[in-house]
Amino acid sequence: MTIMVTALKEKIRRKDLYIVSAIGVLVLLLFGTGSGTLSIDGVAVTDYKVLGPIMLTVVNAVNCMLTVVTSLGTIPNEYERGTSHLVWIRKVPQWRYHGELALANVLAGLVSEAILFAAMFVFMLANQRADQLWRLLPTYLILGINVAAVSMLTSLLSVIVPKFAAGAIAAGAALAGIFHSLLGLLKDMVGGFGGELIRYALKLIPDLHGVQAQAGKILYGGRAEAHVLLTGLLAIYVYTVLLFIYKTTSDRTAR
Amino acid sequence: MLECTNLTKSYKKKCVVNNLSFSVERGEIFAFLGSNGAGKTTTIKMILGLTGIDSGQIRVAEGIRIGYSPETPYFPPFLNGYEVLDYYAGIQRIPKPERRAEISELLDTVGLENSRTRVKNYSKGMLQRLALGQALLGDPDLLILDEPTAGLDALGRLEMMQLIEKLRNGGRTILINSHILSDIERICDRGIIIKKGVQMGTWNKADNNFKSLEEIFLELVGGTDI
Repeated sequence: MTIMVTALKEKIRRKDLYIVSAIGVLVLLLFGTGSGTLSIDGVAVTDYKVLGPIMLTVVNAVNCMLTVVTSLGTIPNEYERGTSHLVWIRKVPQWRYHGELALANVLAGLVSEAILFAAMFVFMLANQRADQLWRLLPTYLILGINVAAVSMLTSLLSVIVPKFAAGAIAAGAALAGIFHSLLGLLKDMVGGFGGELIRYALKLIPDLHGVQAQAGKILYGGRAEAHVLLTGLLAIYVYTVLLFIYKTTSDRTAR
Repeated sequence: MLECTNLTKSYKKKCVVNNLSFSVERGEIFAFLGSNGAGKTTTIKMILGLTGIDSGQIRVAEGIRIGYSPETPYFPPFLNGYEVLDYYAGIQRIPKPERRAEISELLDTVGLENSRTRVKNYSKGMLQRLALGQALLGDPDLLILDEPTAGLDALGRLEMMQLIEKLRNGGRTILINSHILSDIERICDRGIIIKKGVQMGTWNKADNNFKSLEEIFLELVGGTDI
């Protein structure tokens, strides 16, 4: 786990992770504590039961995009700097090297999620829900499925395609995952070839919205649907297996 | 200890190493000489298994450990020197109890203080020293140094040469890749000279017929290519 620990240490010592997370926290606090007002159709949203899911949606969206950013450069940078050479000559198998770097990405995503959850903590306190604060832990863990899925997908893409393309595809997939239910509606409305295209895309893209909805249910004392969570975990599993079996070209200096 | 026979390598149909043969004996400092772009680094990468071989053979004595210092060393910038060595020692699976003592000794050997200064604040000379330090982890039998004085000022070069001389006196086998002839002449025993991937000749300090390495190099490679 040396590679993972060092990669994570490097991420944690960089300031950009905290700056972006802090901006996210500020935005969330602005709406969640009454400092700012969120309006839908001209009606101010102040009710805890309405505002909570909105907060969770923002946490999920911000964190997924942040995860793409923090996960994107880790593996390609190792090749660009040549630090990978000093690892290869020590007979570290490629799957382990990529796997540990990808795991560091997931953990960094979970750290930024924890920072964003500080806003949820304050939001619940501001809404006199101190007795329900414990629910933040399972909510955090469930939303962590999305973080892991987006992070693993980004890591996988960053090994297969150039960094810029990997970032664009991963960000696109994350957005599609966040608006998964909306795309589901669109699929039925569009029909024909476009509808089929969306249908296939939806099968490949993890249902980040679905997982977030389950997290919301837990936060409000409901029950999560296991099959939605299992689908999210399956996506993580598939990306991990693909990352392990994909090998960069035998000529490692070519990258 | 190391024997390369008829090594050939091409990138995109351009032959960068052509039918190269040489061997490195135990306890010597072997020089790999050539101008920039002669194919020296590619050959080293083939020896280390970092790039494939099109044809030829590399034979390394069974069970030997190889340490490698790259031409342009880059380390995780947010770590300090000790942490960098600890990182590579961890990958090499050097047991933790031995690690601390070995790293402190290596930092001392390469002349780096065990300070909190992060690698991103290191000078080029300090980076080269750290690169040498990580190459020495695990007490390797063969040390491969790719342009160990690249980018260093006169004092930095002098210090690096003294360091390599110290290693030579300790009986270590070293393969040095360089195009700085005065450095090579000072510390190496023998070597080969290549040009555009082709072996142009050999050099042996003990058998130089009163010619300097520079003169031999100019004869074999030609002045315009230096």
